[in-house]
Amino acid sequence: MRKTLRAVLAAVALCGMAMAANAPAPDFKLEKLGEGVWAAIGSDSGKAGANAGFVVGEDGVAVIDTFEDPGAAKDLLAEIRKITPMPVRFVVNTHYHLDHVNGNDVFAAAGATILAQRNVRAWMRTENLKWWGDKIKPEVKARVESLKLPDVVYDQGVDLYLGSRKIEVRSYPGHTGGDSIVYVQDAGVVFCGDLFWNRHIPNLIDATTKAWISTMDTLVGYGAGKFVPGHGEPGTALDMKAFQQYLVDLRAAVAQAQSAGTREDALVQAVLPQMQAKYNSWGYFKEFAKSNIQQTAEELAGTKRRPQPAESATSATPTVPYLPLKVRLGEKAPDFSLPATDGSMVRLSAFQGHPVLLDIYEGFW
Amino acid sequence: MMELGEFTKHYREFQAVHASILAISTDPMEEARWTKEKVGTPFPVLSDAKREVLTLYGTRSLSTFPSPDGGLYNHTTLIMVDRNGVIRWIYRNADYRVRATVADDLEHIKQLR
Repeated sequence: MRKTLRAVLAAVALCGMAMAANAPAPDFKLEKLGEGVWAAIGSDSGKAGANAGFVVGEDGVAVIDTFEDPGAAKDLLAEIRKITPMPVRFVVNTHYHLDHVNGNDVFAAAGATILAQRNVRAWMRTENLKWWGDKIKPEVKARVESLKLPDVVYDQGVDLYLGSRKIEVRSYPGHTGGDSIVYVQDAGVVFCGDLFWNRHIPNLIDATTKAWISTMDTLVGYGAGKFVPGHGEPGTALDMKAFQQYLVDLRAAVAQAQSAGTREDALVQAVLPQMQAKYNSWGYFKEFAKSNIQQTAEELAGTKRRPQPAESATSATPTVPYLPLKVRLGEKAPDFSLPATDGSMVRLSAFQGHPVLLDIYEGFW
Repeated sequence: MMELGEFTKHYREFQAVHASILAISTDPMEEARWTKEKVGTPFPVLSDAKREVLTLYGTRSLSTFPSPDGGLYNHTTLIMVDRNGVIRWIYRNADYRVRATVADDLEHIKQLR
């Protein structure tokens, strides 16, 4: 990849083009995914730090994420300016991690309103300090603590209109507990932020892999032709399923090692070769594979630390959430038969003669 | 998971009144196994991955709420069936954070007798 880039630059230089006087090429590449829908793909080690994107509508532009570096954000704004003179009206932060929000001030200065899920505003200036621990430099700390926060927050999602062009922003659990996707229905494109890592090992520091696996089913259900990850190249539903499988494999391997009584370093050593056999070629394997195992072990053991969600109107006062029951007091309980964990089938009518308490849950225990 | 732990702790009291407990969730079998193992429930944990019982009984919730661990809370429904298979008590609460206590459950079982 880098070699190809160097070859292209060399060719340009040899042609003696006037480009030498211009600013260097941006630290990301633009890819057009549909009419007015662009992904900005950062490289794994570049200063952009992650992917971003933008959507051009009838009366303005919506930007998705703002990179890890304000310089890269300025380059993105410059690239948008080459494509359209319309104002950048909105920026959506897909989550709070620094590599997706550090250029917010660049777009705010250009007049954009910044939107994100409620927790992003609560976590941006605090949780982003943890990447450095105690060794954080004063200037870095000052930068994090003055990051441009979202101006507008939502709980579940919001629809944006660029003239008649509709953009759906929806929040889903899994990666941090405050992630959103941006769906451009008329182009069949979903910007997934870090809910999707294409052929890249994810950062699980704030993750709940169990919720994330179901979120992946929901996202694939959008039926989009293109899914833009937070890291890696734009992919298809197949790439989404491959990423979901990684989370499934990781959970299964960690759970198996835990049932065998393995803990901590020994657990990492037991699981790592299994993950290596299948996922060694994925980006960030060296960076994240080990911590993925440790953090999933903590999740399964119930000891994982995660950022505390912001209090919201929805979480403070739940509304009546039920569909009407199909059973009534005084009526016979409909009989059923379901598989138990020991492989047997359990039938309700078999308990005739004794009271039975049914504890019925939808979804996670 | 909170009821499962409570029911497990007080299982003897349920046994004393000859009551059985069936835990039902939409978790796939693999997750149900993991839950049973982790909580150590002495009673069966059933997997309703195809939502058959959920649909039959209509115990569907319209919404979920974010939980502090980043996952989702769902609504639980407790249904007490007497020795003749008749439904005698149903517990649901609009606030997912308010759950019936084991004492409530045992009291209702005793009233059945």
